[in-house]
Amino acid sequence: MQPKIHVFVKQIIQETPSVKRFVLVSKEGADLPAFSAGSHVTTFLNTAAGTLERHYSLVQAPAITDHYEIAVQLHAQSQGGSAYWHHQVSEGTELFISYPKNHFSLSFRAKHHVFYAAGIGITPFLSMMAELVAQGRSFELHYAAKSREMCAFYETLQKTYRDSCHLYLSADPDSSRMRPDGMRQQRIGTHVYFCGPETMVNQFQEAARSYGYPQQSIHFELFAPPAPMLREPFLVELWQSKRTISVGSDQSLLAALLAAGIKSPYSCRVGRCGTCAVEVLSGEVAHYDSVLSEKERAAQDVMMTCVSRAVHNKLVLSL
Amino acid sequence: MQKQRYLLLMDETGESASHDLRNELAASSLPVEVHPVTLESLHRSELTALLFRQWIGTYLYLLVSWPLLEPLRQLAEDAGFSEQEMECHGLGPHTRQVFCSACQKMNQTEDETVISCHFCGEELSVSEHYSKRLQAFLGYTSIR
Ligand code: FES
Repeated sequence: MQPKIHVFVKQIIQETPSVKRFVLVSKEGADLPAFSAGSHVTTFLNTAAGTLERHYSLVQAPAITDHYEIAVQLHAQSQGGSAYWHHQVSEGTELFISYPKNHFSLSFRAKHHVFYAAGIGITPFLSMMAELVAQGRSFELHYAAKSREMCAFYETLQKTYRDSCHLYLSADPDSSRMRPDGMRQQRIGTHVYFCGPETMVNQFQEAARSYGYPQQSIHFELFAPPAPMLREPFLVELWQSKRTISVGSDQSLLAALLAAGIKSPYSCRVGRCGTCAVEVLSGEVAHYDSVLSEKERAAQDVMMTCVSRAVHNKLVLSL
Repeated sequence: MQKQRYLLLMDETGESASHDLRNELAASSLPVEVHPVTLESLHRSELTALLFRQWIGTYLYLLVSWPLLEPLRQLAEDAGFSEQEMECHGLGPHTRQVFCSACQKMNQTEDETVISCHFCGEELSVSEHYSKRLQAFLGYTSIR
């Protein structure tokens, strides 16, 4: 089990009609673990339906460790996470969170950083920009929101990053749209970072590649795991444990392994960290992760159980 | 990466050696820029400015004699070119400068990894550390 930190909610700030910012402080009164720009924490929410694990970026400057701040957007079709944060949590609520993890870190070698955020996708960039300012490195932010009222952190951005910040308001007929072509005329050594819904991230990734960005200079974070195209149930034979388990169409392989009591380490659960990798002995894998390279995918001997599935009805794993 | 244009830097040796490559690039329909370099031009700001003003999508070729290759590669890296965005070709006899950490003198070597210093006789292992200031690889005395 991963170690957890006991915290309580010290303050709640309504950023926009649908976004709240929560200030979390250690229950022990101690400083919280240091973190790097772009980090997130997993929050464990005790709901009637069981424990919900949700990931949120830390939005304050990495130099600050006497509290953590996260921002949560209330989703209309919330599966419980954001609704819980918005409706059940009040100042004083206690909960457990994970240690900070980072699957979306700043490149050390980049000469210039360009961030593209859609909606609540702004969150990981807040700690990144604070870090870059502290280091005197160059960056620019492109941020699309519905309107001025729905634009989380508008004041902070205007106050602190006025010159490096470009806003695009989709409900405002006078405002321009956020487009990928701005990435074209960037100097060599530029790295680009995207955070937002899957369609936006995919569109920007594809554009960046077509403009000549090498894969290593393209970074992204998705809100949710990419929806697998193949969602057929399948069987996995576990070679060492001599068992066969079935994976339902509404279930990930990781979830099926855990449900069957198989010890399976995992962390991000969105195919980004590589923790859940297992060896594949036979069968064809439909890969949906962003850890493996093209070559590793083609080799078909390892898969991320949190997102990837079987192409046909069966896989044999070395587990 | 999806190349948008080519930039080719070459010295005298590179000029004849790059014949085929230049034909190939010319046939590619992407813009090609060719610039001559010499040991002297390394220290001129024009070369630095040329590399630093390149845009994303530029693919860099270096075709130069060995002593010029490492300093040029370093300069390109400082400008922001990554391994995926350049190709380096050293030409002619492969000599490199190795700086003796014991007597602080410069040795001309080929590609040996261990040499004995021509001046003090110390045994030096040639590191991958290239000093821009000395324009040489650092030769460390082995710890005995
Ligand atoms: S748990 Fe992170 S890749 Fe699967």
